[in-house]
Amino acid sequence: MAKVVSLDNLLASVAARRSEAAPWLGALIDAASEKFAHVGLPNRRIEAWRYSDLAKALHETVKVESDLDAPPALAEACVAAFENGVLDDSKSSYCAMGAQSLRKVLAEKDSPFAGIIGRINPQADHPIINLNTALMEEGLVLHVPKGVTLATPLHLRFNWSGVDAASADGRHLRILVVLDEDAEATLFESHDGAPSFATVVTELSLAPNSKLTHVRLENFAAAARQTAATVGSVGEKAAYRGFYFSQGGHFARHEALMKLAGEEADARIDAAYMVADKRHCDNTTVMDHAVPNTTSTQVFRGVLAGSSRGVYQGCVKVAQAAQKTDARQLSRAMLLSHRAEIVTKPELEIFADDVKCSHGATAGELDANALFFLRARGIPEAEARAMLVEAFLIEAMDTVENEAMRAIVIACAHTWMLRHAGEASHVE
Amino acid sequence: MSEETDTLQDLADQKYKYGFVSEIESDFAPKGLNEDVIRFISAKKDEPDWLLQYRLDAYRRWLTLEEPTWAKLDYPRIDFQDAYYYAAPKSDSDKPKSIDEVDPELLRVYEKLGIPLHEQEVLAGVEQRKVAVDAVFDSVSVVTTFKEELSKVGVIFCPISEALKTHPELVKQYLGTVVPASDNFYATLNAAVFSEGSFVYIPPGVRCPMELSTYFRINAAKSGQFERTLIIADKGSYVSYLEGCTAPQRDENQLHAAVVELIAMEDAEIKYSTVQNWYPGDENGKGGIYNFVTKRGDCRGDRSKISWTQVETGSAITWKYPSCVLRGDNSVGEFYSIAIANNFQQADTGTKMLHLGKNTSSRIISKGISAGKAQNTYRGLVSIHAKADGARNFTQCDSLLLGDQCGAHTVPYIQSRNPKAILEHEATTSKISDDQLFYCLSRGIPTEEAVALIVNGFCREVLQQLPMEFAVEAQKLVGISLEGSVG
Amino acid sequence: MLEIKDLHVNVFGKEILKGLSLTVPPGEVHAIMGPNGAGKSTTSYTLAGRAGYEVTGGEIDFYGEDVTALSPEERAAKGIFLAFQYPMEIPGVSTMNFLKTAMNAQAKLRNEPELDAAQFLRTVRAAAKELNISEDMLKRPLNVGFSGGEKKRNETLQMALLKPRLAILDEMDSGLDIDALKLVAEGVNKLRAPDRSFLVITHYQRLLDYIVPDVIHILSGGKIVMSGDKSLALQLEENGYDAVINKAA
Repeated sequence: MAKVVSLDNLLASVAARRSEAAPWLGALIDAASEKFAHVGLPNRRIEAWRYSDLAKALHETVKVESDLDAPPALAEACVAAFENGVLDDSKSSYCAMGAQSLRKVLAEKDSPFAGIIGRINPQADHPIINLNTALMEEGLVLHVPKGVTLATPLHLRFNWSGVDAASADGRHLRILVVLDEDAEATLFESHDGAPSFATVVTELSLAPNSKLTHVRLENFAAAARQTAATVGSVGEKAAYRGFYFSQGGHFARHEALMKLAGEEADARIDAAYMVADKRHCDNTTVMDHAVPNTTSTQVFRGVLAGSSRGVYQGCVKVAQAAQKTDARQLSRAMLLSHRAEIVTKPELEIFADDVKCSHGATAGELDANALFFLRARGIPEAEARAMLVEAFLIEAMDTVENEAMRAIVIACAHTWMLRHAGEASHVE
Repeated sequence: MSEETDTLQDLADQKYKYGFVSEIESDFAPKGLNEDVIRFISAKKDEPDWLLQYRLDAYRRWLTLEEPTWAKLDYPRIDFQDAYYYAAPKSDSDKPKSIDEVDPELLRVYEKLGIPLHEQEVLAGVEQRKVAVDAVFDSVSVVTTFKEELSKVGVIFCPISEALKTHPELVKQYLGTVVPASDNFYATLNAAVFSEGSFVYIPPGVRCPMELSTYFRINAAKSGQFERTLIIADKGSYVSYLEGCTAPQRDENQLHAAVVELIAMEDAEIKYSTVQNWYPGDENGKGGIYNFVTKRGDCRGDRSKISWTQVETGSAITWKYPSCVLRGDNSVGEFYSIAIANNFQQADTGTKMLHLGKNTSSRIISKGISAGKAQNTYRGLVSIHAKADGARNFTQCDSLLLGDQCGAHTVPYIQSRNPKAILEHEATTSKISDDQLFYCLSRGIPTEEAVALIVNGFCREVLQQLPMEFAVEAQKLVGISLEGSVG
Repeated sequence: MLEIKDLHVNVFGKEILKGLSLTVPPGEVHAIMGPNGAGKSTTSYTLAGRAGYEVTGGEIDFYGEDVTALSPEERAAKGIFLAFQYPMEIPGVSTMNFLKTAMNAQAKLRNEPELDAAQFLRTVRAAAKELNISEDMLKRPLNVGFSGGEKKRNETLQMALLKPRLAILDEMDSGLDIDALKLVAEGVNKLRAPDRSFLVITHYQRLLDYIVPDVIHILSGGKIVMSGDKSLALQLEENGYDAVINKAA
């Protein structure tokens, strides 16, 4: 049975933690604690949380299934295994690539990460990032030195199972990845099981000419409640390649907050979400173009069945100095039921005139022409529909370059299709 | 700043040509807002008791509401006690019966604005097309033309205060049914203090024989205008209606908070066009109208259609979202908008399309142009109800930036609960292409004209929607509003 | 044997076919020619069972069975094949996967055994080679980024693999240059067989130089106004539709 995570419990924990912090962290934690205490848990009256009321979701009772999926195994990766929010060294191999546990870093009297953590792309008013900063304990720090290319991916494996998945103040995990100039790395993040309440903040610092590939999988059980944020800064000629897959949860939200901070920086995100039953899946992106000549692309595709709700909020900001910005965004959603809902809010906030910015959003059913074509070749309607639903998402998945990861992603989609075959093959 | 930008700025700096003040003696309600002022307005209009109660209820509710702050607008807090809520030309006190009895000074004002109040006249430059005009000056209607001719086919077109006397049952039946008195801060304020506006009723099966229009003029200093327009198109009828508005150039900001309600019954169609040219303030952002308007159309009957077209060039602040509630099956909603913000103007405008009925369709075409130091936001909502099978929406939302000191923003909300509905939304932001501009220049067209030409091209889809009489005028207005702003 | 009897079809509430009658015996190639707006595409979509093409009167008998109430997939299983004028691009579905799904689905509907993977590959590769379709094309998403010629060859490949009893070729030559047209026509001619009939729908006579019909029908105003042998096409080429149709009337 899950314990209730309440604001009071959180505030008590925040107060307790403040007094324990190392001196180099004190100011950061104090500021975050005060801001969090002031705003509290986000609810729908806050514009950015209008369609994802976390405060309400935490009050609802959830039933944790007993039969949870096992997390995916990625061959030839260094693993950081988090079991119920705690880094389990017996299942991990992250040391091989020079990563260290956050617990160890936080305990040090001084730290080379003092000016980095919480300051890569500061989100001073973000209630959840503030909460995470105030309560972060477990996590991982990876620093890739100049000119180094990590041959093996780092697999951040978050798995939540059994009674330990619940705690009165949630679990707050922090990942810090710092790529120096000309460095390259691949991050594979998987989230499985059912956290009763978790926040995960992944901070990414990409120095000039570095490249990070980031594949993120949320394969939560129906009872999962998590809100995560990937917060990054992309330097000159650096590239961020993200692929996100999610099947939602009781409350599953992920935000990608990227700052294009150096000229010719590029950020590209492709995403697929498949949501069924009463699940909630929120994808939020904010691309902040701060300097001239940067590019960003987001392509989000979603399939919504049952009584699920999908949210895509995508904001592109172009600062006055950020001339020659090229930003594109596309959201496509397919509804498979009269009880499902999609909410899209693609926002442009532009202060520079010599830019190319566009967004497109569509919602609807399968393409009637394609459906007829398949049926005219003898493929029964139900099968033709399922084929088109899967095809719709495979386009996004094909952008994953690493073959092993792509296979895992496609397998996730396939499993979902098999579980929800009835819903995918006709409209309720 | 580039040379081009300079020229654009010159283009934008042309003076507001309707900024004159007319010396007309006026009656005022006491300054400020309280229940006595509301009773004063109601008594001035000789209103029935139910309406006074309606106003008082709205006022009491308004006291509990807070000003909305979600729009991308930045302005000092409005002091609602520092304004007159009722101003009327003194000469109006014994309500003129015909145009000949109207104060000649007032007639000269409208002449100066280019609005014909003599029935034999037609709008400048257009031949042989009749346009009926209701001229509203501050809080009262000065005259309404072609009333008799319209009444022959059963069309009622008169000030709402008059309709309350001649057709009280119609007003009572429909007033506040589309925009309830509790709708939002400004609509509630309007419900409490509204003083004039037009009332239109088109009987079943009638195609209104001429364009109807209302010209709003704010004249008195420190006064607000709170008009209320109500248009009902009964089964199978059609009407095209146009509103225009201007105000004198003053240093202080003046408030305009109107409510417009449209009701289209089965197979009826209402086309509502606006050319909004309130005083925008000067090039330093001083003065100008604060324009907080609630406009909503209810497609109540099956196969009904409501089409909003707006050309928004004036006002210091624009907060306006003409919307359609698509209740009837197969009903259609349209929103065509050009919003131009120059100097320190701020516009936050767009639409709401609520799809409730089956096979309802909506189309949104929005063209936003920002120049100078202006901020221009498109904000829109498309919402598809679970029962609206076969609903369809298409949205195209383009922004053009002239210069690097302004901002263009797009905030669409797109919600669907129906798998059999199709929604498509596209938005782009760009500047005038150097290639296009160069092409025009190389053909000998001066920069200012070239920009006006290209911007008009950018707006074409919307300009085409305006009644022919006003399209030419609007096209000129687009050029004038941008003078000094090319980028 | 296809027998269309007094067929009336409405599209978006408007009557397009107004009493079309036509018989195509097994093994024969019939062409339907007609001016723009005559109802040519409506005929092909109606035969394939597209939603929105509402049969308001008449029958489509296929080997003695009226198929007007059948779904597109049921008609396909009975052996009706439509080669589309504009084949759909379906991103995310590889051509290979699509072919396999279609062949197995039809086998299932006909109560025939499904092909095993090796048999399937052999069959597809052989047929593809004949049509000069590369392995790479088979791996790509269905028709996505294919040239006009590649799309039509892909349609011909599907025809070869699905072995229909009636193949309807809707404007097979549109978007093809002469070399591509020859290649496609060659592929089609190879598929001519005593138990297979063809209905070639075309605006221009050009295609019929390569796929020579036994009978030509002229469709105008939603019905067949004239039928004859292949010389009819030459008459049309020389005199135009108006003159020939007026003469017929």
